[in-house]
Amino acid sequence: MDRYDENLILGYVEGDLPDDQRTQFEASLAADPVLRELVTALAADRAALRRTPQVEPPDDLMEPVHQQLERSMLLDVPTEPAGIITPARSRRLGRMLLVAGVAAMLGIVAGILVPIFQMTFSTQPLAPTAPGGGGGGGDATGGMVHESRKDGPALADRQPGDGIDAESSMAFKNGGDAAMPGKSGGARVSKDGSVHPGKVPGGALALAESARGGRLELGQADQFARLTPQALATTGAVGGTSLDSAASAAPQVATPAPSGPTDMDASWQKRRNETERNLKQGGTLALAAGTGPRLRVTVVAADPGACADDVVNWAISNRYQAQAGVANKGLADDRQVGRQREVQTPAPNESNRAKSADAVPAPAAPSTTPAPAMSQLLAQQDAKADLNVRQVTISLPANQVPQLMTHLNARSHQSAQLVDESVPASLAQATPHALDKIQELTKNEMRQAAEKMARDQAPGQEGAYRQKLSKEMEEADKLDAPAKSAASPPLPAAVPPAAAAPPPTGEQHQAELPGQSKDAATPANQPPGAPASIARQQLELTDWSRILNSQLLIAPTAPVLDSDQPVEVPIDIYQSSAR
Amino acid sequence: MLVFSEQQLIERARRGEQAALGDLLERYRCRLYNVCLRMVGNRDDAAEVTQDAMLKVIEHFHDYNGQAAVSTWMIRICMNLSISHLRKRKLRLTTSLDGDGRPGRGSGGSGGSGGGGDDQMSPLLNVLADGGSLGGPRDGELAPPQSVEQREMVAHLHEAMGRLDEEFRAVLVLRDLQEMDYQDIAAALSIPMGTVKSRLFRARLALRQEMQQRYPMTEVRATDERR
Repeated sequence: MDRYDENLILGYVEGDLPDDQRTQFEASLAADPVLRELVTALAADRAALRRTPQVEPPDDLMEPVHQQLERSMLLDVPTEPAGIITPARSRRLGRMLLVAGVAAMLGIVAGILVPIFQMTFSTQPLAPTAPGGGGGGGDATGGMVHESRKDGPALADRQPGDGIDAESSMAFKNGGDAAMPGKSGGARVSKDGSVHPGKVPGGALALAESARGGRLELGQADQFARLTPQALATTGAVGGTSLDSAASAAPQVATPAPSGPTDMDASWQKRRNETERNLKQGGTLALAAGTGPRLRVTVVAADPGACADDVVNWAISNRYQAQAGVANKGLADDRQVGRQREVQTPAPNESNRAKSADAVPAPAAPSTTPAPAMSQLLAQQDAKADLNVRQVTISLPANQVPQLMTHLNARSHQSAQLVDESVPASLAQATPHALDKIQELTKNEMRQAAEKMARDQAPGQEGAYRQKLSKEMEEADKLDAPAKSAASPPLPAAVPPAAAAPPPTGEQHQAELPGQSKDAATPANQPPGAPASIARQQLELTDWSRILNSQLLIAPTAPVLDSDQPVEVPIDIYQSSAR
Repeated sequence: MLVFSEQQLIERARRGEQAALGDLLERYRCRLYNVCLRMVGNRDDAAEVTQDAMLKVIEHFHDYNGQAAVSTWMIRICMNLSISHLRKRKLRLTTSLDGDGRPGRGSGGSGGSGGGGDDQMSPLLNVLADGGSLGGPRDGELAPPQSVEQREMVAHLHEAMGRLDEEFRAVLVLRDLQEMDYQDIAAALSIPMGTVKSRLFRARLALRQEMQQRYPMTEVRATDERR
């Protein structure tokens, strides 16, 4: 056997030999009867084995498999067969817990350090480096709020062209007509020199606000926020960066000093490039992360438990994955929290409570308009029922959702409503265009709008009116100076930082953020000149609304229900009021 | 009901959809069962091993990395479980024979034969007695019409396969019965492709020797037919 090449024999038996080698091997076969007999027998064995038919498995072969699949499908415990926790599994669980704990700690540390580094690098170029400036000791890494508070009383010592913000330098170049003290940038600057990022806590609104350098009220941005909930949660860094820059530069506007146009152009260009890069990258990515199909179903049923079982059975019969559970929706879901607060505030009186005995089933989505006491009572019942909301989540192709809705609405004593909150990918594509538009408006349209406003108020006397405004601003600064001094007295440069007045802590500023109103930025002793800044603020709001409406909200809606892409549809099943 | 391709099913199963995983297993159940049957040589044991393998697939599907075909990955699990089952059975058999005072069997004759009616000892013979042939039609199976001699030769081949080492039997099952190429066999058995070829050649030789020793007449007739 050793004198034969096994590769040749095997290749010939398997039919893998090329033609020339096969011819050569067949010649050797003809000369060697022993080899021929062996090869023939091997080929016969191979052919006989390949003729063997497939054996049909027994019918009950898949039974335990299906049981296991159904169990993991219903309990949503993946795959591992139920059983005793063996030492090996216990060790594996322990390792997983350890790894998860370490990962969570790393995540927390990263979550703390990354914003700090971002703020550090974004504020370093704007750090107060002028001699005698920076009453707080010149710490450039403390973040926008601290820095602006520190810079407040030392504005007069600021060197010209040192960290001039883009928008403020634009205002200088255009004669200072758009520059208002304490009102520049995305942050709110109060008269005492403190800077508040506004009532929007980061997110897409902060991103948009910083992009525009203007202000955006929550009420006007509700639609935008509703369309991109994930973007709201993921764009805080981008918004924070620009907000920080604007805030740090805001007080500098109050003391316009001569500066070389080259410096201002360079500063403006640098700031503009940085802002554009941040906004386009961060904003687009964030919005893209928030796009996709998002469907949910709300069901009001007389028997939520039976309804949930019915939905799960329907999913199983159609071989979709379902996950069922009971959730404390009143505490877990923000929407439900809001709804619960909404319906609990005015308590119903006794007469209306008596009428509620004949209450009809409440609608799936309670009206937000002021309603009579009867609806208040019904809503209260709904709120109580929310504490025991059944939740079922089904994974199925999007084009099967209508069948699900048909099934849900086919049953008596229950009604279902489909809510399509999908965010099309085109929205993310529209964002850069919107941001481009915003950038252009920042430079040109705002100046023109301010001049137009001046013309409207004093036709033919734009220059005089502009001078008047500037004069009013200067007077306002003078009137405001004592207040700022009292709040944070300027210190000479020789005083060591440790002796300086302590800067406000982050907690103090954070405490001011929620619930801040527009008036909070304007002190009670608002001097003349404030109407102009408020008018500018209103103008910015108008522009913002227009831009958002034109560029973002009209993004075409993708026909989610026509596609076969898999979606997860959460179904909230509420108890109807009629029991 | 939507019909998904294999790739779609794999993607859905990777996302945790148990129904998709069930569909995948349903598609491959016959193939997996036949692999186990040819390895362990017993219908009941094959069903048990196949079920264990499917549960393993469900349990460890998140470990499937997509480098090989999913069928190859499943077959690999079946192979491992089958070989493990054979080794356990061999151990039980050796212990039982030692207790009875009869001589134990060496490793070369895995699967056992010629021990009478003991199911543990001769699974292939048991199957033959049950259905006439391991590969023969039974309970509505679709089998091509074969002559008695051909069926007899196939039965002898399977019986001879049952006496081979597990590694020889595995490579023969995958190559001849499952008609897999060398690369898939290498992936399924976790061995290099060169090892697959050399092992396949040695397995064919071992099978031929077994056939010559046990059924010389059958061999003569089979070779005569070809001539």
